[in-house]
This record gives sequence, structure tokens and C-alpha cells, in this order.
Amino acid sequence: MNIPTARMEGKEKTNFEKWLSYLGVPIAAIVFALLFTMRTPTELTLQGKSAIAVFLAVFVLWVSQAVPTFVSSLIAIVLLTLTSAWDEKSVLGVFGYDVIWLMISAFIITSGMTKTGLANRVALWLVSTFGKTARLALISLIIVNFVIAFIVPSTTARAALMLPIALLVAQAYGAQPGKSNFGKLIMIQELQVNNISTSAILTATAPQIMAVGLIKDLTGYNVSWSEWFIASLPVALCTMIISYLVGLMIFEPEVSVPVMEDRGNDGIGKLKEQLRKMGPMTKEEKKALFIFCLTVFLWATDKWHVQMFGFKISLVMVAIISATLFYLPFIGLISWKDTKIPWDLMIFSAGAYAVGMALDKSGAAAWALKAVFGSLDLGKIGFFPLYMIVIFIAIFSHLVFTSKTVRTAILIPAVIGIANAAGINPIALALPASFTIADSITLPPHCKPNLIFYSTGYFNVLDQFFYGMIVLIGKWLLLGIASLTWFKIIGIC
Amino acid sequence: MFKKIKVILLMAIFILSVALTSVLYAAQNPDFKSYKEVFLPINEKDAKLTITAEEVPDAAGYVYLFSTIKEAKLEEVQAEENVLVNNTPEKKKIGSVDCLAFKVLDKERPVKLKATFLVPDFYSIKNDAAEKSTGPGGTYRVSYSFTCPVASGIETYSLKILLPENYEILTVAAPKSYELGVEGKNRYMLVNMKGKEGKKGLGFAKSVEVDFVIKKENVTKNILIWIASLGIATTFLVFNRKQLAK
Repeated sequence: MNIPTARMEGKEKTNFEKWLSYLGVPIAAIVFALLFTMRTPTELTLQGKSAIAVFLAVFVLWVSQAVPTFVSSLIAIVLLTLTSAWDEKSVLGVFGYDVIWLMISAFIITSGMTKTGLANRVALWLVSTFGKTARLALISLIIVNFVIAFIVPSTTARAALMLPIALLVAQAYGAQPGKSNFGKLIMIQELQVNNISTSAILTATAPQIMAVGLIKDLTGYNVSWSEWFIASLPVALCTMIISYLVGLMIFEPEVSVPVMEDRGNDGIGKLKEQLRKMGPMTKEEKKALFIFCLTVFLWATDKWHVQMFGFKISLVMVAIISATLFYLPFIGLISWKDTKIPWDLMIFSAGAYAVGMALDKSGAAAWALKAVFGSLDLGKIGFFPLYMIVIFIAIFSHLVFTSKTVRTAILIPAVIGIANAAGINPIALALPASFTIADSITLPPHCKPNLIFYSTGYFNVLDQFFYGMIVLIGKWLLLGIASLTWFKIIGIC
Repeated sequence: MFKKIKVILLMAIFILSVALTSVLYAAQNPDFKSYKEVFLPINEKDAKLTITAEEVPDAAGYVYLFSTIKEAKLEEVQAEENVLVNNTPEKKKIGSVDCLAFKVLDKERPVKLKATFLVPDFYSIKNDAAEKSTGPGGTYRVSYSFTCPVASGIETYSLKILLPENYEILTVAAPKSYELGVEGKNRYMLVNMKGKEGKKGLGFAKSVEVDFVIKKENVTKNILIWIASLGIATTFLVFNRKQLAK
């Protein structure tokens, strides 16, 4: 099996997509001119206005696919610098960010696992055991992703771990990047489940811990790990079910069984036979397995690194160590020629991330959130409408923030302020709002797992955006229902 | 035994001397209720700085304003709720900070002191892109720093910098927390350090650093951007029609 790195080329466009693609550049140009030349809002800097103009123009290019995504990122890099939305040094520096290194390392690890045949063995075992049908394969990947959230406390590390498995399962079903609905489903569901499962576990991402800290500081109420888990788990589980069902409706898989099965009467039997033919694990496979296990071990034990080694190894450094091991003489298993890194998507990631960072750094994201909260007279409406408005803003505020930390720092105090002004229990608003911190599933640059799965080339920005928005609307409604039922039972609302 | 008594005595002397120094220092220094600084542009280069300070005179009957900008020239000074002995200040120091000291008639009464200074070239420090880097031209850097030199701190400190007409803030390097707004035709940045729950807004030796870049609004550039954008849009609409037919 080879790592699929082909982009969306060769895919037959629908009429709607043709029109989008045709109008993409003109709309982007006009959106940019309109926003960049308008009078700067009084509470925003020129840098902030420029960042918004570049973001929205590039957003049009991403969604319309009028130009290849890496070209839109190059345009973004140029525009950010020329409009002073972010300084040149910082924009170009994004290519050195940990997210880019993590993606490069993840692809090296995947290349190593593929070359040695370990990935093939794992994929054959996974598909012949759990993935007898496309739907079962999707469900098993969702479950694996959710379960490892308890072991590996980082969304990015989990994404890097799941990447080779997801790629190989997609291949087992003959999914072609950019063409296969099944491929789209696997990759988008992986990033969605990665983020949604995070919301169930307080310690699965640092901004959630920060939100609890802010709630404690501003209200005096201490939310425990179990309180968070009990309150959030049903919503997270239901959202994952929604994600699965909505995905099947939007991108109906074109395959129902692994590709080998189509070629014969007893496909699963043939897969098992192929697995048997592989024989016992080779020395190379054992080495690759050791490196992979070492990576998982280091990611899972990051809290105890100092006690174990006397120093802490960051998430990205663990990935780089693993990637290095794959190349080292005697230990190493691959050469540079065996490495398949989608550089066009690395460029896309760097540009897209730079746009998001510019929104954060220029204060534009914070301004937008404050402007939305400030424009609504939320004190005069009843609890439920207020709750629904606040949760809606909380969920979709991720559209303008790249950093979950910055979003948390602005969102939670603002929500507590609104609750106090309206004379309602701040926990009833702030805790459910905290459950939305990890909901960054609509655009690639919104969080690192999105970029990692986007880099497979299986889906485009429009696919992710459309699917993500529907799932998030579902989560919003679920949180609404929870406020009338589950949250009342456990005493939050 | 003797050794223990010696240690206790030494400790007592140390504690007493520290306490006494603080008391003496507090008596020698004025007590600031509020300190407000407003920079108002006179033209595109120079500013008028208005300082309004509410303070209780020190033991010698002096009230103070801090000379944060060397080039600033005092133009006018007024006092409310007390009378100044002389409108010409004496140059003094609080810690290492240069001050303008004004003697008041009644050293027991608080004073609301209002002074205006001319600050030349406040808005005219060029900040164009460095060589071999990309960045806009026609930008100016505005920076200002205020450090509280009084031991008792300042209850409320505020700094407002109004920009010349048609100028706007491009980027802000400092502070982290600020407000932006508009007053008449001038945009401004406001930094407000209000004390709460017995805590001073600006404590002893704490600083407020302001550092931002401003740029004049440019209508010509906006027209050029519209021409370029419409040109790109039209070109793509005309020459990309084949794409629809495919």
C-alpha cells in the first residue's frame, strides 16, 4: 500500500462546483476590496481590519476551489504581508511552527510504517476483524479515536496517531483522494471525533482546563473532572452519532466492502489469507512497531517526563524523535526517497495557519466576539433564549479564532459577565459554553488535527465546512435539549 | 543565651528601621488619588499633553508632576482646591524619576493640579519598513512610558493618546490591554488602570508602556485597490468562461 498524496485533481466537477470555481476569484477580489477599503471600525486597528479582509477573501478561494488550495495560501501570505495584517517575519515564520513539523514527522512515521509492511499488516488485521463493511470500519475508527482520547491527552498527537491507520483503511476500501466519498467520510469524521471526544474529557486539551480555572476565579465554583465528564459525555456521544449519521447522508460511501472483496466471493477470507501469507512479523516490522509504540508511550506519559527523564519532551519533539529513528543507520528503516510528504499541503497549512494567527494576533478575533456579544441586549430575554444565543455564539466563535486558548480567555469571562448581568447562575451558561471550546471542526486552519487530516487530500475545504456546520448545528440543538433535561437533572441549569 | 538576645535585638532593629523608613518615605512623598495624561494633537507632528493629578501634598507642602518626556515644555499650570505659591516649578527627583515640584499654600489640603505641556514631534518618528523587508511606508511610531515612582502607588492612572485627524492605528506592540475609540475626528487609544478592593491601579515601580504605529488614511490607495480588484474580477470572468463550458 502506498500513502495517497494525490490532490483533488482529475475529479469531475458538478455544475454548482463549476460555478463556484468560476466566480471564486472575482468574489474574493471584491470581498477583499470592500473590506480593506472600508472605514476601520473605531475599536479595531488597521491591522485587524486587514486580517479580516484577507481571511474572508482567502476563505472564498478555499471554499470555491477557484485556485489550488496551496495557491490560495501563497496569495494569503502575500496579502497578509502587503496589507500589514501580520509582519513578514512572523508570516514566513509559520513554516517553522510545531504544527508543520508535526505534520512532516507524521508523514515520515507513516512512510516508515508503510515501507516495512507493518501498516499493511495492521490495516489487513483491522479491516478483516472490524471493518467487514464500510460502516463498521467507520464506527471502529470512531471508537478507537474516542478511546485513545483517555490515554493521549492531546488532540494533535491523537490525530498524528490515527493518520496512518485512517489512510490505510481508506486504501483497503480503494478510496481515491478527492474522488471517494468513503475517503472523505473517514478523514472528516476522524477530525470531528478527535475534537468532539475532546469535549467529553476535561484534561484532553489545555484550554478546557483553563476554562475551568476561569470559572473558578470568576464565580468561585470548582468544576471537577468527573462533573465535567458526567455533564459533557452524553452531549459528546450524541454529537458523534450525529456526525456519523450526517456523514453517511452527505457523503454516501461508494463502497460497502473492502476492494478485494469486490474482486472475489470471499473477500474477507482473502484478506485473512493475505494476512496469513505475510507470515510472522519481520525484523523491520518489529523495529517500526517499536518506534510507533515508543511514540505513543512518550505522548501518553508527557506529564511524567520530568520524573522519568529529568526533562520534558514536547509533543512535536516526540514526533521528530520518532521520525529521526526511522532514518538512523542500524535502527533506521527508510531513506528520503521512501518518504512521501505532501509539500503542497504543507504550504497550504502554513498560509492558512498564518491567516488564523493574524486574526488572533491583530485582535480582530477578539473584537468580532466582543462586537457580537455587545450588539445583543441579552439581559432582557429569558434563560432559554439567552442560553441558546450564548451557546450558538460560543460554538461558532471558532470560525474567527485559531487559538483555543485565546478564544477561551475571551469567551468564558464574557459569558460569565452576561450571566451575572442577566441575574442567572453563571455556571448554567459558562459550563455548557466550555463544552464548545474544542468544536473547531469547520475549516482546516482552525486546529492542528484539521490540518493533519486535510493534508491527506481526501476532502476539500467546502466538504469540511458544509459537513462541520451541520454537525455543529446538531450539537447546538443537543446542548439546547440538554439544558432542559440532562443539565437540569445533574443540577447545572 | 546572650547570643539569642543579640539575634532578637538585631532582628527588632532591622524590622523597626524598615518600618520607619516606609513611614518617613510616605510622609515625604505626595499621595496620588489619580493621575491622568491626555495627548492631543496640535498638528500632524506635535502634541499637547494635559496632565491632571489629584494629590495630597508631601510634608514639605509640594505637589508633583512627573517629567516623562524630556522635550516637553510646560505651557500652563492651574490648581484647584488649593493655591500654588509659584507657577514656576522646582526640578526635583522622586527615586530616580525627574519631577516638577510646585509648592502649595496649604500643605494639609489636597490639590487638583492641571498642567499642559507642548510635546514636539510626538507623532513624527518614522517607522517605515526596514531594508530588505516588506512593509508599508508613511507610518509613524508613537511610544510612551510611565513608571510610578511613589511608594504608595497611584489609585487611578489613565493615559489617552489621540491621533492626528485622518490617522489610524496600524499595529499595537504594547500594551496588551487597551481601548480604542474615536473622539470627534480623532481616533484614540486609552489605557485605564483603576484601583479596586484596596489595590492601587498602578503600584510602586509598575510601568505602563505604550508602543504603536500609526498611518494616515489613504483615499488614493483605496481607489487603486478597487481598480485592481475590479480588473482581476473582470479578467477572470471574461477569460475563464471556458471553464463553465467544460
